Amino acid sequence: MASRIPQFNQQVLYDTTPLPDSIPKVKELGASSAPLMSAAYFIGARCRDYNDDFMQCKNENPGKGEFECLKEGRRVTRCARSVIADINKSCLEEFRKHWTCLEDNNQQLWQCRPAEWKLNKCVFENLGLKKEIPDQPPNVTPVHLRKQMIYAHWPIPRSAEPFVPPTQTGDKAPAAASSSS
Amino acid sequence: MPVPFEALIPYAIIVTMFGVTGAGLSAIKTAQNGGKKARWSLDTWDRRLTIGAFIVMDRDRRLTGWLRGQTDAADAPYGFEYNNPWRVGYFTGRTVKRIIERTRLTNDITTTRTDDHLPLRSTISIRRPIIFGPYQPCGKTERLDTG
Repeated sequence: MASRIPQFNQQVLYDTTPLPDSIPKVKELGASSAPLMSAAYFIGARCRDYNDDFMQCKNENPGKGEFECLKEGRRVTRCARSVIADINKSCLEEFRKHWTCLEDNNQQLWQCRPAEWKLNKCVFENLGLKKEIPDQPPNVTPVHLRKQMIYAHWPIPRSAEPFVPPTQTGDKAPAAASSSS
Repeated sequence: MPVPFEALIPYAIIVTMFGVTGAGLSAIKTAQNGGKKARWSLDTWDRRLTIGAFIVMDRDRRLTGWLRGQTDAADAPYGFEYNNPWRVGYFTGRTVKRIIERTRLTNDITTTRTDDHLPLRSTISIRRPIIFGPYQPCGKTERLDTG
């Protein structure tokens, strides 16, 4: 019932109606739900323009978005694929810890903040991508940087420090770049 | 005065049975999910193209072979692009209609694959509800009168 070796039929399944050659081929993204959830904000940071283009194209073409938006869709796939490939190259361990933790917790981000902070630090240092939740109220700590998650099953250990990326003007906040244990 | 504990033994048994039930259910759910905790409170995004049955995370199943499998590869394995069963709605009726599967759509022409080259099989009339897949442009279902 659990993990049998997946069998991908490469002879039986073939495309009887392939797309014409004028349409470029793009490799599909191989990440499943938990790694995608974990990398979601980084994909958003790098691919925001392409994603917005695709959504706008779909909105403007109700009912025929699948035909008209093939080009934008290819861009979205390529960009997301590049983010996942870069994270795998540089931050694989932290990435795996975070999405394993998410998978154990019903894919709820607030249960896995310490692992997420480590991943954010690693990704910021290697790839320069920041996790940023849009439309947060300005005077309040963003929810992913708080030390207390009110719905989490377990409290966050005191030794875990949230990673706050340094601000644009170059002056580092005192809590930034503090190494979490 | 000593507590009459013999009278309370049945209650202890009842409470223990609650515990046994809970532990047993938890063990069964864990076994069903391959050692992981069960997913709960799933919405449509999480179910993602369930067709009839309660299949969650269909994409995960197509990528890894089982429902709770996860991979973090950047490239999908080779069979992934073709293993999406995209079902067209089909109707019940006295004459069996062949299901025409759409595997790909070209620019503005819908190409469909028909079973002309396959030998006719004996007909069975099936009763199933109409199953709608994702966006479907107008297609044809062909009616075959089999004797």
